[in-house]
Amino acid sequence: MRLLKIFIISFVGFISAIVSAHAVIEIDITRGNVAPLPIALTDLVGSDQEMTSGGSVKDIGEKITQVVTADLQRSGLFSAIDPRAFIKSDNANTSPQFANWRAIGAQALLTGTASLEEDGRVRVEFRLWDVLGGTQMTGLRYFTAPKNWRRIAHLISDTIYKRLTGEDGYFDTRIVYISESGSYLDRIRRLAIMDQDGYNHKFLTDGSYMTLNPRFSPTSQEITYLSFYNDTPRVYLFNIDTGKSEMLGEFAGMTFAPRFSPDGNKVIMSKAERGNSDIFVMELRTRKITRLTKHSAIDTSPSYSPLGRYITFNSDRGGSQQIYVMDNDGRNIKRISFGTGLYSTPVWSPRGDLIAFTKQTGGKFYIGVMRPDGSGERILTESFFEEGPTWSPNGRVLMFYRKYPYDNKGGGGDTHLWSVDLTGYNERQVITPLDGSDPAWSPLLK
Amino acid sequence: MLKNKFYAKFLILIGAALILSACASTDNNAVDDTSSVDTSSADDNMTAAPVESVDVGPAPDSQEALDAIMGGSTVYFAYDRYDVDTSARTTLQAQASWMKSNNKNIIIEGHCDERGTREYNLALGDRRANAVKNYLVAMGVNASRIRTVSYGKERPVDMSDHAKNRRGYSRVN
Amino acid sequence: MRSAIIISVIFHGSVLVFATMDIPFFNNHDVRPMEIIPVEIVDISEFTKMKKAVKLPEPEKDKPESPKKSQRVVEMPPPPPKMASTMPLENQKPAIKPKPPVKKVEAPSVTPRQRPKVPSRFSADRVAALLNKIEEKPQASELLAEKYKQKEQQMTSLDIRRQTMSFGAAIQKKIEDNCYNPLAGAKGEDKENVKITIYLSLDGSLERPPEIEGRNRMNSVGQEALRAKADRADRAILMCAPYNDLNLPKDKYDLWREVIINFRPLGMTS
Repeated sequence: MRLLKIFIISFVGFISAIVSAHAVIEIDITRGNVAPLPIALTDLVGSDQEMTSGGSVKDIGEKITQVVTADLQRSGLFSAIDPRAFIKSDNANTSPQFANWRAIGAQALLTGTASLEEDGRVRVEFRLWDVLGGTQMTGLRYFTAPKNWRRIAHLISDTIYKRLTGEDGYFDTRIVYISESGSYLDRIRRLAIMDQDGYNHKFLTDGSYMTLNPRFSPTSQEITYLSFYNDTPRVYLFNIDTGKSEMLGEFAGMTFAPRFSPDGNKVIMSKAERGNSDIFVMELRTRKITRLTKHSAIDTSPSYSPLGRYITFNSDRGGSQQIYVMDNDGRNIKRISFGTGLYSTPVWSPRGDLIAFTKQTGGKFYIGVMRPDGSGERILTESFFEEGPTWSPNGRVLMFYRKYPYDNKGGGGDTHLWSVDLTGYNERQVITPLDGSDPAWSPLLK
Repeated sequence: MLKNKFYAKFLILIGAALILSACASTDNNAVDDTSSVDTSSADDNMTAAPVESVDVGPAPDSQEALDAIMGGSTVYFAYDRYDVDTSARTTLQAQASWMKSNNKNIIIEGHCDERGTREYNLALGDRRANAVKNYLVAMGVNASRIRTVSYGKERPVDMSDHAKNRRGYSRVN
Repeated sequence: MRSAIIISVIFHGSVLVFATMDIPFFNNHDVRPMEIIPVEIVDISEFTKMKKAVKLPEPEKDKPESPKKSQRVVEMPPPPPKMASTMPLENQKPAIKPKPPVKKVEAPSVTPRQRPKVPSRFSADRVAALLNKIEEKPQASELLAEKYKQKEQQMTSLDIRRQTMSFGAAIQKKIEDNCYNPLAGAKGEDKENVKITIYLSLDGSLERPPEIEGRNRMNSVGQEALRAKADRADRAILMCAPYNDLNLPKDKYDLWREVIINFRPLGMTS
């Protein structure tokens, strides 16, 4: 009888196993509702008894959370839950009460502490939690001088961003741009630099001569830019650490529109001679310059692909301004833009999959992206005037500048920096002390 | 032969322009108090001032003088173009004459309107400046006396009239 | 008595084998009507259900309460099965009742995890607020449930297939409409897909955490994007749980107990 029982049990078990294995529903989820991820960012907990030169450790902890909140919020991919909704029950050193966080709709949670070390450094610790799964996603600890708290905050933002989106962050970065002041007919244009969130703003030139076209080196603390020093427009190299500038080569004509190669060893630029602009590349170590294009048309705005194998540039060789791609030795020039209107300022995405551009048609200007073969053109923004996109180092966000005319005929206008997500959403102004133009994003700082 | 004719014509024109400008210039670019020597602008019913003070206008080799020649120091271009059209040619012929009679070097500035990207406009401004230079050189001006510089769209002279900003400007160095 | 059980079970089992064999044909198009089979499939779910399911046909409108309901139900004595579908096989009915020994085998896989997904310390308001969106949508599955309830007696394998698809559609709709938040514009978002298997309890809650195919591989360097994508999928499933609002019929539990979900979001350029 026992045998029979076992038989029955196993028989039925077997059958049901087979049945369940076969009667399985399989479905595809192909769409969803794209929305910012609700995240709860709690203040890093610190003691108000521990004092640093920059305030108490408690203050630092709270300020770090504020900066992280602003970073993530600004990305458009996260929505920080109002701290007033928090149910304060967690001890920073234990696992959170996930139910409480789930109740207020949080899907991710930041907790952490700040404390003072004996050597005067601040110790910052944080954990990122998956509220729905009830698990820790990541946790890191930093030691730093108290005055560096802002960078720590950006590093935390980058870590959270990367863990939750799977893409590198871009918060620990800087922007170099042209600060503009004065009347529309008499502009002062200075080189300026700031953190990606607008803090730590600094002018790099004094405005006694015009500067344009700044670009960050992908590998070092250097900027290449165009200066009208001595009324002679030339490409220069600016060292952020030393504050010194040097001219890149002495040529008969104007050099402009510079951009670093991805390895940082070369600068590609336009050189105009007797009214004809062509593209050249300069080896920074040897200062040897090589011509890449030779055409009576304007060839300008060159930009390398992320691996340095190709160059995209702007040319009117076909009769109007269009975007072209060629090999890095100047061979195999191919036009890639074929839509209506004029295309210019192509910039290759650091991801490699897209080229951003300025488009001009029907009295308006647009920022858009297309694949390197010219397909899949998408317009992201539009206005009376905008141009000059630059990519965040993760290839997710574009910054550009836009002019707001003073009157409805388009006269005059203020210029400001703007950013937009690759999807065309989350368009927002980047606040600068004065007007701004020609932004260029730094790589992730090291 | 042809050249000489041109010269004669333009010397006359320049003279006329100078006179006109002297008439018109009641502005503040007057030179120091200089006694006037029988200019045609002398007013008949002036009072019996012992020394008559009259504006003689700018020195002939000054920027103001160049600005005042027929057509002035500026030529204009069509949108996204850099060819020197008929009216620009007339102006540049006058400029060439001025260059020959005044021993000054000039810098030709190439400018664009704001309806284009910064980098492309720098290239376009360079084209325009060189188009002007080439014309002047063809008119017999020594190329070494002319330097070009492009300001792209960065130095507009008019808020909203784009046509006024697409220009080549001859600046006395 | 014993032999009655034996006979019944063996008969039962063989019919089930038949049923099982048929299931692969679901994917073929030559679907033959087999009146008996669906009934038996339903019967299997009965084993697990006897323990707790009582008021199956009643649509559960009040979600915050549902977990408690299932808790209470566990304590109840097994109710007499009152399946419409058992009718054509009236003669087997007695065979079902003695089956509790069988049930014990099945039990560990299902019952210990029947804890309510939503903790009871929730304030009802807050939970209701959270679930507001979800409550708006169950009509489709309700209608389906209605429709099939009436037809149960003439079920064919085609019907089962339809049902399976409709259960799938209901789950898919809920996840797509309310829970899945893909990252638009993510690099390679449309390249590698995420496959997750979920096991539902009879009350619609997740029997265990969703199983993500290749999860371990995703923790290696360079796989961050795929891991984040898998996490987004996982969050969608957890967010949507429990699935009791879909009114997945308890007598068809076997048809929806295990669900494979492929997340293949279309690229942003779609």
